[in-house]
Amino acid sequence: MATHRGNVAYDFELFEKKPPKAQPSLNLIKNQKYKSRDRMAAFKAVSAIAVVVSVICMMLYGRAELTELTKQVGDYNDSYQELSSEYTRLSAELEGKVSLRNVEETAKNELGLSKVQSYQVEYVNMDEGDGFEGAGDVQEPTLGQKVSLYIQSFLEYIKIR
Amino acid sequence: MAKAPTNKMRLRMLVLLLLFTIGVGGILVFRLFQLQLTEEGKENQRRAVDQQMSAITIPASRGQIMDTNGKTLAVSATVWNVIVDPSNVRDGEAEIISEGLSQILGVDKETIRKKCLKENSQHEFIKKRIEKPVYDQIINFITQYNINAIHMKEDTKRYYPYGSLASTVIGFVNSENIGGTGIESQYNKVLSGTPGMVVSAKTALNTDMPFRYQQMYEAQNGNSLVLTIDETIQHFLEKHLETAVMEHNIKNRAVGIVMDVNTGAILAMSTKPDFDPNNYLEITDPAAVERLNEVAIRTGGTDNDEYLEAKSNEQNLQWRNKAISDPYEPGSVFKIVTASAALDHGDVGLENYFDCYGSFEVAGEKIGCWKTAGHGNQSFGEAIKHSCNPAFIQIGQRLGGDAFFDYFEAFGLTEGTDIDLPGEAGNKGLYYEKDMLVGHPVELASCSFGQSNKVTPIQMITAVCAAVNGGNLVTPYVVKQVVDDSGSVVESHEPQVRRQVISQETSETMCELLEHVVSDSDGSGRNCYIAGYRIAGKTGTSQKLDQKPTEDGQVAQEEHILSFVGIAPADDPQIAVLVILDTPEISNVLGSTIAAPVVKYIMEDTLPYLGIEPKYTAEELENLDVTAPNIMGKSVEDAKALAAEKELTIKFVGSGDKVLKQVPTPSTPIPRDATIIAYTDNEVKPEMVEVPDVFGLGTSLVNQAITNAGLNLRLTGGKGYASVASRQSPAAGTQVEVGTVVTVELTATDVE
Repeated sequence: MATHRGNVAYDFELFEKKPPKAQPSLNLIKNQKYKSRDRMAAFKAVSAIAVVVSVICMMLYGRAELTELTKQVGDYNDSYQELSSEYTRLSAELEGKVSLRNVEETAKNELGLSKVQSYQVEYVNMDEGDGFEGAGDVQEPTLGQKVSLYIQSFLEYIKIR
Repeated sequence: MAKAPTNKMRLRMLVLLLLFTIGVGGILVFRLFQLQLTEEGKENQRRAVDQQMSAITIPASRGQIMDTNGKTLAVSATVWNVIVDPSNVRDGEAEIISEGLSQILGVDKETIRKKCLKENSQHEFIKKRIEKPVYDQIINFITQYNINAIHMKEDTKRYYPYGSLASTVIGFVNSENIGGTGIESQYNKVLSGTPGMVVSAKTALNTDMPFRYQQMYEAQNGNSLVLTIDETIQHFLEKHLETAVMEHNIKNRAVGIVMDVNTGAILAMSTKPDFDPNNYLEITDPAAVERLNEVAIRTGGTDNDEYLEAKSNEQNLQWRNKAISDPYEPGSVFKIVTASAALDHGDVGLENYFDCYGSFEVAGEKIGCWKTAGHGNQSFGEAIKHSCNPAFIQIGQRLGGDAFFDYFEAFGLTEGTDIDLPGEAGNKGLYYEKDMLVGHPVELASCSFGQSNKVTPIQMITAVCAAVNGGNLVTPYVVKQVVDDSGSVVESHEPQVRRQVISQETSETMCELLEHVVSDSDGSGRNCYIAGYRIAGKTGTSQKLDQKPTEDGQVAQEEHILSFVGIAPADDPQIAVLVILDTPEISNVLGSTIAAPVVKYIMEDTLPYLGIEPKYTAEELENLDVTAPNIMGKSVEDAKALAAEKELTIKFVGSGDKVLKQVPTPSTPIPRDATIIAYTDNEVKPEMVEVPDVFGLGTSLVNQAITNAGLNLRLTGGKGYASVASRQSPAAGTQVEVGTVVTVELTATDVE
């Protein structure tokens, strides 16, 4: 740039037509890495959304299933209670029908049965009287037996001591 | 150019903001405090809860009542109430509903139609407490016609499978499922349980949010009760009481109690006539129904106050447990207490003798014995056996008023027994206090033999048990255990001995003396004798001293209470049976002997059931009946031999050599000296005779009448003299074949 030092009050360089700046040549390069990076981000975003949506759906589905099952359980419980109650009622009716009063009346009036009487039982007298059985003659021990007996009792005596 | 705010400005702004925040915040906090923590806050809370929460009650199941063996005596089950919502009845639907429901429920069609068309109503009961089969029919009907106006609301119903069995003990529940009388009432809290609740949040649309905000409080089902009552023994007791009420026209109900002598457990308790707890409002006693009909006729209908009051009285009467609620004069059964007291106090002994000339004078007043001719000179044991009033007056005099009352009190006769049943009556004011006995010989005399003082049946049997179980006064009880839903025992009742009343030795002596009352041929209780069993007992006949006079001021007819207490086995007492017949018709020849046989029949059934087998003495074995041998098809000689084996006589009719028909038939019970008619010829027809009527005849006349008719006589029942026929089978007038066995039951009539 030319420099005029004569009069610095006006910088005429400012009014000079400047040559256009050389634009740097830009080569439009199709950058694969940058493109895939974009796609990756998009994919991630979509996946994340998909996961969230599926989780929400699963939760909703689970909740719906739970509601349905709870209702079913409730229905079965109600049904069970009803049947249980009916069983109780029928059992009570059955017990009434087979009460002793009814059984006796049926046995007597319809079947012609009667209670066991004493004449239908044969009584056996177990009492044969008192008695005793003798042990038989006791034989005197021989000399050898006496000695043996004495030794045995002596040995017992030693053991005790 | 805009200038940026300065620090001072910023500071000012902050201060203002702060002040504003504090101010507004403070007001909010204050208001929140006001809304939540003050009284107004509590009210708002309540309203918020009401709006946001729904609470549904879970009803608790009422516990069962079972007998001692686990048999169900009372149980609850679900039923439904049929309700119509008139506001929801569409056009033309009323006709369909009334037609359909009328057919299914048996309710008047017009009544249903009127209810369906009722204005300003959303809730009309058509029928209450219908069972599942009918419920299913109605559901099908609703589905078929797509009716929204019919609702089925759950309810519970109490079932008593055995009907009127032990009804006065068990009681009933009313329409609110609350115990009305008996065990149902006494243990209502235990049986009812505690209802549960489901609390959940409601949405704005009033639907539940069960998963987010739900809290369930489980219902605590009621506990069940196991009673000491044995259904089998109860049946035996009720069967024979019912027969007695019918046969002897008991006007004021009969009572029976079977009690374990050593523990106080009540094995059976009944008052007849009673009621069916399944229809507790219905009056079952024909006499009561007749009385009500008379009132209805007199008052011109059943809607008036007088009729309704009379009906209520009859209902209360049939629900009343006479065994614990009605004091009565015990009569000679009370002599057990007097005798025990005198023996224990040392005032009398077995060696003492007493005179009876038919009456005894006390302070110028003559008191008669039931045997007007008198018993003569008799020992202490004989006085008990004969139930002699003069002898007991003398025993009472020896005991003295002071000691008499002390023992009266010690035997628990001045206070309730504490039995776990509602409505036990006290007898305060119904007996002579000590100061009314000391120095008052006439009062002491009448009390000594069981008149004047009143006690309840449960007090009497408890006192008798104390006299024979070693002297221990036990507390009677009905509930043995309380069990929960799963069957685990929550509570168990142990037998309680309140005190020792008399010594063991005195008790053993009393058992022996009371056994003679039944086993001896002159015992007043011999109508209770059962071959093979050792039974002790005491009769009782008392006059009702507080009878109400008729309109003309006279007592129309003397009314009596007949009773008998039996204890078995006498050598090791296990059970006591007390039967009381209030105001029987005793204008017949049986006199006042009808209570002992009732106890006998009950014992005959109960003792073998309890495993107490008969043990016959040699004499009893000899007198046991045999059965007719089977001689059908046998030759004449063989038939004779078979008959001779059993000490029977045989009479042949016809000329054949083989027996073609026999009367009585094989295995028929027959006495040892009876005659078998054996037909050996088909052409000879058996002769038919009419069974004579032997009711009320003495033994020899019965024998004569039956034998003369060509029939075989088999005697059962009361031994000894002065016994008359009280029952016969076959009935008088029946046409039977010659040789048929006629069974005649004898009852001793020379007893109190």
